[in-house]
Amino acid sequence: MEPVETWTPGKVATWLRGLDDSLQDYPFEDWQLPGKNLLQLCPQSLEALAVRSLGHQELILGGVEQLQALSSRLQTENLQSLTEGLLGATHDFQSIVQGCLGDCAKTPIDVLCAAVELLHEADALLFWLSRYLFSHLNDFSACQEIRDLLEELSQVLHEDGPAAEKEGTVLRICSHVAGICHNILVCCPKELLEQKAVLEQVQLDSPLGLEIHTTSNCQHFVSQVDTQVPTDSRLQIQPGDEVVQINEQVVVREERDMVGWPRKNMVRELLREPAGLSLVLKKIPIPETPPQTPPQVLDSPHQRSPSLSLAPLSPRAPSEDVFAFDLSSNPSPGPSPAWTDSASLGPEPLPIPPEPPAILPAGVAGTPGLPESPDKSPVGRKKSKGLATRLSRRRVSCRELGRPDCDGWLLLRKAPGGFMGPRWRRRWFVLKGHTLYWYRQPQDEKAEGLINVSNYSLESGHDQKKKYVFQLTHDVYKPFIFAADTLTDLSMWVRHLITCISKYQSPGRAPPPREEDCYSETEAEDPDDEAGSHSASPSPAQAGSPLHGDTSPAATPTQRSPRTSFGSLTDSSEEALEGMVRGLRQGGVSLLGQPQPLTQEQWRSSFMRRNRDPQLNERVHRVRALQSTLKAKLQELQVLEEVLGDPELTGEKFRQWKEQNRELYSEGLGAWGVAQAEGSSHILTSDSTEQSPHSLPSDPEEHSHLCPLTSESSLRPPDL
Amino acid sequence: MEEDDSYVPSDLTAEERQELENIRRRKQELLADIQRLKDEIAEVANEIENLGSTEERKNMQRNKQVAMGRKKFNMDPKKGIQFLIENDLLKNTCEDIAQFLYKGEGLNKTAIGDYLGERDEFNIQVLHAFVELHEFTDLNLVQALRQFLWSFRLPGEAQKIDRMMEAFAQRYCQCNNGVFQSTDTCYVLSFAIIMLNTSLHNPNVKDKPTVERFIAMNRGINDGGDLPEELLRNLYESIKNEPFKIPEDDGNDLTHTFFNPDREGWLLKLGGGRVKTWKRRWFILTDNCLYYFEYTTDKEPRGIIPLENLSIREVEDSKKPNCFELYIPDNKDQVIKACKTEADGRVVEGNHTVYRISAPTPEEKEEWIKCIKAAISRDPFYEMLAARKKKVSSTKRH
Repeated sequence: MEPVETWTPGKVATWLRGLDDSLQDYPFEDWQLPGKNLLQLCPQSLEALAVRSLGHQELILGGVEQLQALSSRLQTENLQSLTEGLLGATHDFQSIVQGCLGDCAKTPIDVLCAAVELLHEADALLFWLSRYLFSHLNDFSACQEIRDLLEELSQVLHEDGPAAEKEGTVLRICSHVAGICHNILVCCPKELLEQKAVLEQVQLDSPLGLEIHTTSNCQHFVSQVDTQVPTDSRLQIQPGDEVVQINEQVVVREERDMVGWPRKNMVRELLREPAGLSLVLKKIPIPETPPQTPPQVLDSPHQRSPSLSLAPLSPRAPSEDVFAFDLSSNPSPGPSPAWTDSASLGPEPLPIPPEPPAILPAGVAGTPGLPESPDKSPVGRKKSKGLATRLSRRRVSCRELGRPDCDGWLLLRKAPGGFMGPRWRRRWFVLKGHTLYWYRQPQDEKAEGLINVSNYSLESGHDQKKKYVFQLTHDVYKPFIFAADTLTDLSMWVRHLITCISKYQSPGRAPPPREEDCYSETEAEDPDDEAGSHSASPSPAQAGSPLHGDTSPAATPTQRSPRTSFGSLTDSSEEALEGMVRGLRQGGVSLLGQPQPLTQEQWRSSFMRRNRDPQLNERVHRVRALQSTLKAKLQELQVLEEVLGDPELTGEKFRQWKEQNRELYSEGLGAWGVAQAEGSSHILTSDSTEQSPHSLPSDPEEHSHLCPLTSESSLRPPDL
Repeated sequence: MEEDDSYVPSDLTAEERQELENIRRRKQELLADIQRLKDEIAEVANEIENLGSTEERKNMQRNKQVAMGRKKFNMDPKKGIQFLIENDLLKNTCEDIAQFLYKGEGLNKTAIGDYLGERDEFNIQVLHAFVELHEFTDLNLVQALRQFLWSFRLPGEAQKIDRMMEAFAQRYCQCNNGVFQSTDTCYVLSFAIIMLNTSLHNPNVKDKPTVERFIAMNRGINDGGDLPEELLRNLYESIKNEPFKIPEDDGNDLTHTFFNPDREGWLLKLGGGRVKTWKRRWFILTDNCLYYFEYTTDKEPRGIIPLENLSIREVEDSKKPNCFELYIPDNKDQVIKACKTEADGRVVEGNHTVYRISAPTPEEKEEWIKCIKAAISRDPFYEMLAARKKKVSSTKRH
């Protein structure tokens, strides 16, 4: 399903045709409405199109709204957002419940509302988690507890019972749910947390063998796929996938308060076309490098996903139709819009086999009327002339590169920035052919930069801090400086780079290569990065063509060995250690992986949130404030005692005392009476707003426990 | 006391007599306030004790005091132990206390870690007794660390971690003679493993070390020699396949530091704006941060100054006595990473390149400087570890 904005009038008409029967008399085909305008439909414009019945207007607008919700949620929803949503709802609920269950016999309405909100969030998360991939990848059994906990919660809310007990149970459940959420957020790999859902289309000859479970709010999930379903389709349909669209019909309502397609209609739709059916499934693809990927998922389901029925040939954007239903917004933030991204690259759930013969999926190759699209394969991309931009050259994942000639971590030196001196960044480097790519992470979708090594010479390098330094230099453009962690790494890289340069370097005189043919870097992603000013303009470039001559005669395999500058082994092991410490710091976590506060808000909340239990937290803060106040008063008393407790006080001493303590009583001693009145009244008001004055007998034991003031050496409490 | 209060020196002016009278009145008010505060604190403390204790109420009668001791321990470990000893529920020997902590029933693992990390001589003895209770014989280092790190939550402070890991390394080497050349080797490798664990499994850490880097990083730590690569590979794989189970941060982490801040009191702080004014603020030093409040009764701090990477020095000020300054070493014009809450509740970045603070007395200034210095730490782990590493690497070289 491509973005609605790009729908052709024909497609829009087809979609409208799928709406309610009562609308079938309108000449949708004559409207010539492009997708962009479909989304902007309003009652007035419908009126202009002669849809005058309010009911009909509602039907159309409602459908449009569904479409919008569908794609907008695809953009934003992921495990993290859902978990955070539930966490937030839990906290909201907690704070509302506190003290609110009070004495009233019935649960207050706002508590119920918050509970409903909580249930919705939990539902959303559970639907997400019920997908196939989670049952395989990780032990999410604890998450199923959420369901039980919330059932218990709703029971408790409906039962009559002592308010305090009820509140206690409710809060206990909440903190349990919150704990599970925290666990998910902390323990889940980032890829999994950030993975968004994608829509994928599947063609089936018949719905036989497909078991679909419909939830109470009319979401339809595939619950089982049995052997009657053809094997290759079976690979595409996983239990847990949500059925979004059947034969052009969007069967799900995203708005929770509307009634979606009832099961009956859904089934009717499934059986409507005897010739076969096409489903659009919302699924959560496996992130790039999950810990235990089930192997069969990596088999590309692509062959059986021709999009023709969904995307009738559109003259305007033919190549995009091929991958039309990949609504996935690519997780790697590319400078280009996500749509083109997924169209030209193929989204991550559909890995392209590394070897060239298999690269073009059958569906693509067989699609009539499509121009050859070399961007589909990394090999094709490199050979293509006049098409690939520097940007798209970099838009290739390590996996797409296939077997590298050499890969591994290296440090890349960034030009000195200000007073900080040169900075080193650890990147994953892949040498393939004559191109050296680097990535932030091996699983990244696109390279951060690349160098056409054949234009460069290899030289040893020097750096004050790093030992195993080498550089690729160019006689026109800037050099690139690298450092390896170990001697072994260094010699490996040097060996491969030398081989590569000597292999691809062309002997003949060629026109000097343009800068963009030599290297390409991404835009600075953080302000510390040097601005890579080269990636924005998509100029046609003869990307990485091996024909380009090397104008630098210095690039010969007989380069002087960089080894001479290498230090001792210990230094390198210290650097490796330092690197790991730096990694932790960059990740903002402590030794044990505790997140360290970084932002102002985090610092603040690390102070404010002392305890997960809000009741306890509130009291802890109260005690803290009371103790501080007590300390302050005791200190003040002590200062006063210097005057009042002195049996030999003289005028001289008194004035001296006043002088000494002027700083802390800056209100001025002359205005003492006023100042003290203000001071104490402030304290009294701020105290008395917090609690009503109780007169419980104070347990002396407790007292000494929470009030360590008497043992404080710096304070000599006066005799009271 | 009464007669003291009524004493008035003969050489006071009428105005000064009035002032003295006011001071006396103020004292009476203070005394009343103090009593009220104490009552209130006791009351809230009581509420805290009774919070969430519904399930415990059933067998409360029998174990009431033990349960209370545990609760006190979780809130403030030292007070809890003291309570249990005073009520004859626990013998005052390091072995008994260690046993109590090792069993850990109903105890918060953060609190255990905090107690064991204390620098107090007695606490250090308890730590050693505690480590003795662990049996590491024939376990590889990762297995031993798994056991050890699960028994309490490693505190955040570098010195505490240092003591605990030192004790661990000693015990491990004692149980497994001959695996490592020295306890330092074991110590360094243990640290490397803990870091590896976090690096590999924490989603925030992007740089995932390879086994080669792990091996490289541990070159030469066996008294100048290398550890068997096979051993390092096994340890790496073990961590990679199964992360350490670390006791969960149960959200109580910072509770007890609240009751025992490193230091608190009134100080004058020079504002950072264009017009510099001295403001009186209540400062609290805890969790390696300086928090300041406008009033002692405020729940939320006005400002927060994280002390990481700062230095402190004494300065002379023309207007105020007993001054000191917090500054960033080597960076004159850099703004200190700090934040404050504006009047409208917005949290904004601080605008100080230095914080100039004036204490009421020279003694208090000394005391503050001492405490802040102790709290300031710079890459403590790295420094600690690098020093230790240098030691083991160079042993055999000369």
